[in-house]
Amino acid sequence: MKYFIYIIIFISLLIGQISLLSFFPGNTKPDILLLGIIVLGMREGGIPAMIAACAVGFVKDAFTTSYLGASMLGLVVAGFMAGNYKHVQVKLGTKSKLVLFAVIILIYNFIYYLLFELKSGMNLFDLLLHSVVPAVFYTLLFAGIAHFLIPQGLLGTKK
Amino acid sequence: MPKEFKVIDIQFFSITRSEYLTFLVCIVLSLSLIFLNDNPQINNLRAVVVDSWAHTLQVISKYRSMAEMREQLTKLRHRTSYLLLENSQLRKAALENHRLRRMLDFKETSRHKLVAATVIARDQDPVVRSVVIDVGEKDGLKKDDPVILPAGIVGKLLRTGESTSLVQLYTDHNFRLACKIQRSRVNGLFQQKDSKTSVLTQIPKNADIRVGDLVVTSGYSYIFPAELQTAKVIDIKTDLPSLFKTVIVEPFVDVTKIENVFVIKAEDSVESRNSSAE
Repeated sequence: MKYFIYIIIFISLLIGQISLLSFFPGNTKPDILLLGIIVLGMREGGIPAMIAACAVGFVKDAFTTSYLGASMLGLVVAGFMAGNYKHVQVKLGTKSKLVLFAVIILIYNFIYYLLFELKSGMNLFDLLLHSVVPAVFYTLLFAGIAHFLIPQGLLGTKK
Repeated sequence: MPKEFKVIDIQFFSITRSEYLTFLVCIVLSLSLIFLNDNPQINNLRAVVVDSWAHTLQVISKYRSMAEMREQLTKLRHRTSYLLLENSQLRKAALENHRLRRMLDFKETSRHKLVAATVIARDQDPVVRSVVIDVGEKDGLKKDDPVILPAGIVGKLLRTGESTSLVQLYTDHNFRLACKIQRSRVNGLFQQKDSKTSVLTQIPKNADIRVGDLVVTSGYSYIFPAELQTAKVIDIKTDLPSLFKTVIVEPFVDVTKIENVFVIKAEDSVESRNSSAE
């Protein structure tokens, strides 16, 4: 039942990412699929996160002109890293969780744009400056807003 | 008083073997897809995925249109009282009539076979720019068919499914288009420089180009027919340490606002290209 709810959530996130967020103004959009994978990984462990990453990454890639598998690869790495959180034996504070989120988002974006750079021949530094940094910032900001809006918090640990 | 330190042996990570195995399988799968990107079967699979999502996206697109219509309706109600006073309701109807006639005239007078399409989804990526339209192979469309508007070019079909197609917009950083200056017939390559600027490159420093010149397709492309208006020159940079100058252009179509587009059928664009070459 729990995983069925996750499937529904991810289908909603996919629809949101593909069609609803695309009508928002501006170039950089928060990556809600990436957030979903990180949250799933942190809550349920790496295996469900990586399987979900494969499925949603594949569909997301089908709608872009980039390599099929580019988002998938990044999301799998993100899912694996987020899954490690479940094995951490010490209790992490808000700042540590925020840093962990930021690192995973940064690594995902770096992988995705590195592959994009290979295809388009764009300058990697330009990509980092104009795409990766805003994407990380915007996704983190969106995660923060979502954390405050959801009563139990993104990770279900808010009192 | 010295503090007493307690050494705790903390095991930070204890990743299981099954997690490593899943990670490995997923990575291999992703890399396989990346390396097999040009495989026709993979492209077909991509089209099937987009097609299978088409119905859901169409419903959302319709719902969005309804929401927009409701919003427009509220605005119109407010405006009606003002319009009644101004007696400009007829003028509004005339303007609408003019716009629709322009679209219809363009379709009728165009020497190309055009297929009208509606945008049903847009890509959210800052550098990869694409939209999904509601026409596909069943409408006789093929990969690389040009997508245009009466004002200018929009992009080309990157992939076609049964009833949907993925359009690569001219703002995509992988998009290149052979163009020329209409007045002086100087050839150049139209492409997106960054998220906001389009440029014409490969232009020799001594080429005759002025601000305000019209940029049209050159017809050297196997995709786009000749003389489709594309952009206008807004700035020329010659101080770069290069043999070429960079011409900053402003495309006529704002792709962030497109809702309906026309697709030129493939056979037709090739015929036009051949006739203009003759």
